[in-house]
Amino acid sequence: MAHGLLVKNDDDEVLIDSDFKHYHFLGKFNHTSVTQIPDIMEGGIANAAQGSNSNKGMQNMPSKGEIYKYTVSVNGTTPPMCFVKPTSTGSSAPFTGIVLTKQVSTNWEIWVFQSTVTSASPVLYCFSPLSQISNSTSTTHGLKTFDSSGGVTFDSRFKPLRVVGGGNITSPTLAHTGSTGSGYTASLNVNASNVSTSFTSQSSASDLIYYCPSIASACQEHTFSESDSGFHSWTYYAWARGDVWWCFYRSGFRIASTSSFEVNYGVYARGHVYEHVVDSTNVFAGLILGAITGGAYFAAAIAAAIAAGAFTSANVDGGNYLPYENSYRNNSANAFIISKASYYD
Amino acid sequence: MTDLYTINKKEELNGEFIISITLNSKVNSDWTEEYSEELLKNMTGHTRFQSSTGEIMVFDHDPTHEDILEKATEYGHEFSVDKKVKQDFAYGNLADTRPIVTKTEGEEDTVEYTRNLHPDEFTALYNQVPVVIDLLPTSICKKGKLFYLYYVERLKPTQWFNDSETFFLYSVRIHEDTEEIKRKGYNKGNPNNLPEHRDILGERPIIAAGEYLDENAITLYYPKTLGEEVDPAIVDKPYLGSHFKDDILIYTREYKHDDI
Repeated sequence: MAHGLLVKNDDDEVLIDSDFKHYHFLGKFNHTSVTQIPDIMEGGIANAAQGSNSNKGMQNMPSKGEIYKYTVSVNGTTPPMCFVKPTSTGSSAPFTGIVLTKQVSTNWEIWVFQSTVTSASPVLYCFSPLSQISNSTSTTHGLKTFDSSGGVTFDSRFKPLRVVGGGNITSPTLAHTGSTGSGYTASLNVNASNVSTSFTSQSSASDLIYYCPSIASACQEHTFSESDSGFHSWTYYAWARGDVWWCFYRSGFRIASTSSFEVNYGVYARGHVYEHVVDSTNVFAGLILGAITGGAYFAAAIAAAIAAGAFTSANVDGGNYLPYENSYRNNSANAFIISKASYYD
Repeated sequence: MTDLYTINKKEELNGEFIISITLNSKVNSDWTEEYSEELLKNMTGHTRFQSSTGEIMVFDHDPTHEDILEKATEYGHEFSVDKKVKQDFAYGNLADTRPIVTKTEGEEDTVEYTRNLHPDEFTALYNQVPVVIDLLPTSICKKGKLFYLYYVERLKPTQWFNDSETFFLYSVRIHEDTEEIKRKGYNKGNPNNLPEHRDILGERPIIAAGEYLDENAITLYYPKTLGEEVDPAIVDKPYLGSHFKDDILIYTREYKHDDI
C-alpha cells in the first residue's frame, strides 16, 4: 500500500483498510413471505388387496422447517451480507441459516431456513459496500477513506459493520444416526448431536446477530420393500411393494449463549415414493416382480416420479430435491461472524 | 457374495466409511426354487415372502462382513422372518395338507381328496366315476352312491357349466348307478342374495353360499365358532354348512381338515 489508511487493534487485526470495501449498514428487513418445500410424493395402487397398505403417506416423518423469503433492496452485483437476528437464543432455539442468495432485478432475494416453525420470525440486518448504498447524511465529521481509484471504502457516518466475534464451525456429518427405520416406519428425524464453538463472550445473547450462510447438507433415506407370491385360497397371487422415504437436511445455527455458537440440521425437504403392484392372474409375472424389487426398483420408481412431473409441479424453484444418496456435503469450516443488533437499532 | 445384504454404495468421507446397504429378509424355509415352482404347479398353498430394508451404516474403518452383520443386529434387523407372524399381511400361509373331512350328525364321515396332495386316493375314487369327464377335478369325494367332483374357479368344468354360470368354486354330483348329474356353484359371501334364513341361523356371518342349479336348494356356510374369521376356500378353521331345500333345513355339516 503506497498510500492510504490501515488501522489495526492490539492483536494486529485489521479494523479499517482504505483499500478494502467495508460493509455498512443497509437496513433491517422483515420477510415478505414464508414457505415450505412441498412434500414430494408419488405412489401406485392406493388400496391394494394384497400386501400392506401401511403408511402410504408421510406418517412418522420428521416435520419440515420453514423458509422465510426476504427482498433486500440493494442494486448492485455485490451480494449483501445479511446477519440473522434469530427468533430466540439458547439451547432450545431453532437452528437458522441463509440457504439462498440471488439477485432479482434491482433487489437481492434472501432465503432463510429455520429448523422449526415458530410464530416469531427472524429479522435480517443487512450490510453492503458503500458503493451500493444511497444513504445521505448532514453529519460533517467522522472518518472517511478512499481507495487508490478515489472510491469511498469506509465512512464512519454510515454505520460500518462492527464485528464482536467469529470463527469456524463444523456441522455434524449425518443428520440422523443409527437405523433409518423399520418396515413401513421411517426414522429420519435429526438426532445428531449439536456441534458448538465459542466466541468472545458478550453481555447479552439476545442482542447478538450472526452471519453464517448454510453450506452443509445431508440427505438420508429409508427404503423398504416386500414381495410375496405363491398359492393361497385356491388362487395364484403375487404382489410387491417398494418404498423410499427421504429427507434433505440443511444446516442451521443458533446463539446458544453469550459465548457459544451451535450448528445442527433441520429438515429442508422430504418425500415418499412408492410402488405397489398386485398380480393374481399370472404367477410368473409376480416372480419377475419379486426379482426386480430392490435398488433398481427404487431407482425406477423415482425416475417415474420425475417423469410424472412431481419434482417440478410444486410451486417452488425447480430443482432436484434428492441430490444424493445417504451422505453429507460441505460440513466443515463454516465461517461465522457475530455482531450486535443494538449497534444498528 | 452373500444373499443377506447388498452394498449399494460405499463412501469414505473424513475418515468415515458410509455404507448404503440393503438388508434382506425372507421366510425361514428350506424350500428350493424348484420345489416352490412345483408347489405352484400343483396349486398347493405356500408363500415366498421376502423383504428388504435400506439402511445407512457408518464405520470408522472399512467394514468386514462380520461388522455389517453386527450392525444389522444392532439395528434390529431379522434376516429370517417367521411366516406365521407374517402371514396376515403376507397373504400366504401354508394350507393344511390333510384332507377335508365332512361330518354330518348321524352319518358316516366323508373325506375329500385333493388331486395333488392325495393322488392315490384321488385316482382310486376318480376311476370309479361312471361318466366320461373332460377335465380332471381338483378334488373328489364319495358319499353313499354319490360322487362329488370339485373344480376351482380357474378350472371351470365347461362340460357342465355354461359361460353365464360363473362361480368361485364348482361341484357336480354324479350318481354311481343312475349317472344322474346335479350341479352346484359356490360364491364367497352371498353376492346373489340367496335367502339367509336368519330365523334359523341367527346373525351368523355367511362366508360362502352354494347354489344348486338343478333344484331349489342352497347351502349357507358360516364359521363353526362365532366371531372367528374363516376362509372357506382353504378351510383354515372348521366351518359349518346348512343345507336348505325348498326353504326347509335338511341338515348341517361340519367341514374341517382332519387326519384320515
